[in-house]
Amino acid sequence: MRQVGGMVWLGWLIAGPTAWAGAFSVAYGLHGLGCELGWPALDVGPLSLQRMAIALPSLAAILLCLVLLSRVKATLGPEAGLPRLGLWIGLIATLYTMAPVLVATSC
Amino acid sequence: MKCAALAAVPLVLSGCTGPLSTLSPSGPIAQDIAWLWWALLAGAALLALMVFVLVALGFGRPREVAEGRWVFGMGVWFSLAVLTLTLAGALWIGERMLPHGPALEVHAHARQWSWSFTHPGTTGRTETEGVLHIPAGRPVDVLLTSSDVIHSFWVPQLGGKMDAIPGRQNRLRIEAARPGTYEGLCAEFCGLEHASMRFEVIAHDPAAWPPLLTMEGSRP
Ligand SMILES: [Cu+2]
Repeated sequence: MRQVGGMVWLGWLIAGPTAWAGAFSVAYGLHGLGCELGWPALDVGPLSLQRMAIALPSLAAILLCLVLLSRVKATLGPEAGLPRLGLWIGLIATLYTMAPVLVATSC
Repeated sequence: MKCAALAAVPLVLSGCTGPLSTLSPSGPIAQDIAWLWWALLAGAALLALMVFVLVALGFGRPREVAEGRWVFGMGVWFSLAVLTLTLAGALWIGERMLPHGPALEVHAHARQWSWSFTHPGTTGRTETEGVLHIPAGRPVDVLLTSSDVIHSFWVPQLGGKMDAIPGRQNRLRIEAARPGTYEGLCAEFCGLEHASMRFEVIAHDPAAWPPLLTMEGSRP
């Protein structure tokens, strides 16, 4: 089995779930802050500031996963299998957990 | 052993009825919550059934299995479908339970270890100890406050539960379909006497609303 710097490979492996966890934590914090500061009443384009504040970190996490997905094969070669799965899990988990934010009452 | 286990089933199930059961709802909001409970039970039962079938198959003769079908078909897509359906149901019911639209407002104030309520009476606003009076057949918003620690207002047959937090006011919508007496309790551990922090909700016939209330309330 080819060794691709153990820790680097591990980093790629957990990148997807970590992106999701990061977006979730930031959204969680901003959600509480927004409820206290009255963000649901402030409109920013088509969405309220509240929904925007929760959707943007998720969008960032999704973009990060897409960028990493486009590079995982070139970087890790034959060892790319599991990290690629991890990135897809991070991407789908982010979509899944953040989608209700666009429809549900926030506060 | 088997007989003892079977005999215990009715005993355990009997815990599912009674005045503090979410499964014997007495109003539209509590009814929604009960539906959600049954939907979650059905989803969990389906998933458990799948696992049991897999375990049972494991005891049979070794055979070729279509790994992809089990891992992705059942492990991922089937589980995800059940979770998505129950999540959608929970969101939908959650939205219906929110205090949108007009409702009668009453105040509930919690302290270690009792509740006092303020509501409209025949002689203006009246305060009672341990008994909340509401009209049946229409939504009521309970405005929750606390003077010491976090408590939680819960009348399982009439609606969901909501924390009473010092320094802020929370709003919980409840509704009783029929006149009657319903039991409530503090649902957030709040100290030594937490378990005895009970109260009653009396839903009155709309024709007899507002009721003649006295300061003492009517808790025995
Ligand atoms: Cu309490």
